[in-house]
Amino acid sequence: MSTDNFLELRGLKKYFDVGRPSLFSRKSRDLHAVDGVTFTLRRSEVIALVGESGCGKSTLALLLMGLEDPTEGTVTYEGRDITHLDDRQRKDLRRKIQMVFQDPYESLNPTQTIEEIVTEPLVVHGFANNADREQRVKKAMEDSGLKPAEVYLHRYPHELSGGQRQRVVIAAALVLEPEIILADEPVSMLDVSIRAEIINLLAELRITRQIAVIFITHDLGSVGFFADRVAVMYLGRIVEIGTMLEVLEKPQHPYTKALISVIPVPNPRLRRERIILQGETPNPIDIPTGCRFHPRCPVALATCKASDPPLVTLSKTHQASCLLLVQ
Amino acid sequence: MNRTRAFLKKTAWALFTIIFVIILNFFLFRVLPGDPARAGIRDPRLKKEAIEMLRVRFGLDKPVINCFESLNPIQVGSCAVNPFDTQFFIYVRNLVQGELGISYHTNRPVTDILAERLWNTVLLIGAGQILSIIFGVALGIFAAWKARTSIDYLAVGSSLVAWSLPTFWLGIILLFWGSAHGFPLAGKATPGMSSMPLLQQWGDIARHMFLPTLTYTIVYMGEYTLIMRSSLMDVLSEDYILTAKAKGLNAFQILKDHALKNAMLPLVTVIAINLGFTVAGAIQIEAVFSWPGLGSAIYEAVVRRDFPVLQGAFLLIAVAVILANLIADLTYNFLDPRVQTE
Repeated sequence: MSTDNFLELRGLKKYFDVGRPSLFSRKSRDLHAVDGVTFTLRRSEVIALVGESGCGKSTLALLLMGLEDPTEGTVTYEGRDITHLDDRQRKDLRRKIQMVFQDPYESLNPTQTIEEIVTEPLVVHGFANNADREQRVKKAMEDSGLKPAEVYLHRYPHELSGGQRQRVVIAAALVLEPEIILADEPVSMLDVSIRAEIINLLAELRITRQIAVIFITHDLGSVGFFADRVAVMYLGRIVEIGTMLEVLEKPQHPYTKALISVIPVPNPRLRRERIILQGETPNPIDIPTGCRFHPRCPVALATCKASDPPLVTLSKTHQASCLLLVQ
Repeated sequence: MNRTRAFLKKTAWALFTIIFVIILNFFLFRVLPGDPARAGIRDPRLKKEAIEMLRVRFGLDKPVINCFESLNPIQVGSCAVNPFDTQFFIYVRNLVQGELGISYHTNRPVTDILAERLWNTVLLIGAGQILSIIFGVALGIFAAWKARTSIDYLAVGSSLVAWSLPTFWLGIILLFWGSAHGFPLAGKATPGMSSMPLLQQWGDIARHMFLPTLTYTIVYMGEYTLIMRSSLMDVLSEDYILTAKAKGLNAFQILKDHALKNAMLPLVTVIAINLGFTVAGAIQIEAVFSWPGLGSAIYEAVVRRDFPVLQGAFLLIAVAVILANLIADLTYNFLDPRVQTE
């Protein structure tokens, strides 16, 4: 079992055609949702993808799930190119990569019972007649913290709390025994007290079931608990990637610094100066020239407008793209 | 337990509404201006004695309602009369016995008139409803499935046009077209058909039904298509559809197992209410095609000021709509698990 090249993304791009800007324009414009993303995921590793809304993290998740077709770039899984697959090949792969969506109030069909929801993936993938089906469903539910499973089997989603619903979503993902779980903001719709429980659950699964987790979030504060590595995205690109400690303790990109400076610290003696970014995230249709962060960057130089900085390797595991690091 | 209680509560409300309609329906025709005895026969030469006889015949000589002296200080109604010998009491007593009075115009019991007309209407409008539901829902699903393609735009465009067509206009156009293709133009059966074998009689009725049913289906199909399409497209954009895709369900499984059941919910209400109004008939269609249904009965009764027939028809329609709503409510309860616990 090689630890490298488990899941590998190379220069992944996704442009959406948003039509012509006005009736008289010839050319239609593209929205650059994901604009060249490269990283690798190792077996049973947790990687956190951090970025503000609109930076392309969710599109990236859809690309990985094969729910959107990438414009450019490749995704390889265990050395096999899975960028463009037909439905049958994709279906086999779906068993390996499962997804947990953001809003547990929306991602469960209101007319199905919990049992139907958790059993369905097994039926779809042809395990319907296996004798251990019931066993698998119960195990997935109890592993997701729905104990005892019998209590929940015949309930409907609306009878459960948000946290319990998210556990159902996770159970429905676990039942196929996947190798990767893609969690798209799995806790942002939940109460703060329940967030830690769900994050702990994902952290446990990674130990007990060797599942790799891609944890998409806009909240850097919640990734410190269990991520091995952190990738910070800005306008469709990774601007900094490194181990959790490298990124959180020695951030190099000004955007990462700003994100970290606004993580709330409960102790008032430890308050530090916050870097508040000016302005809105630029429109991903009109990407700024040069470094795409320069209009909001507190330390931007004149040259930032002109040249797009490459990812600079700072250590074996740590990379960031900023012109200040090049010099 | 919870379900039974909800059922009883809803049924009780429906009954309460029907009682309210019964009372309102009575006074609606009593506050109309003019002499009801002269409404039916508008001949100025009518003698006083004859008018008096008409009053007695239809019970119009009796006081409308007694005034319940102790209960209402403004003394509406006639006081010092036997409360059991008032029009209102007789109306209610007749209703309980299943009688709706006698038509001013035809002198026949209203129940007989309505019963024979009701059957014709249910036959025609019922067929139209069923056809428009089947085709409308199917087209709506298809359009939502092919959303934002030219097929979808064509379906939506033609549905909008069909839904906004004036029924009588479409009826007349189809009448022209049908007359050139040998379809019968009016009525329910060819005169003299009743002596033919049963199968031939039915065939004749079916040929008479064709044009009005077609008119009805075209117009109402548009409504169902539009509702079904937008409802299904709403559901298809839900996260649980994306989840289902991520789980590996194919397009057909998603539609069958996840989308349709949820998308049908809003349609159930519309279908039930429309079925309720089936009883009212489609006055325009029945008028254009001279179909002897309830709609044309209402129309004729209005023209002739035949109040008992109108009163009976109104009651029938109200009861049908209330029952249809009740059924919609109960079906909804059954289909949507979220409703049960509330």
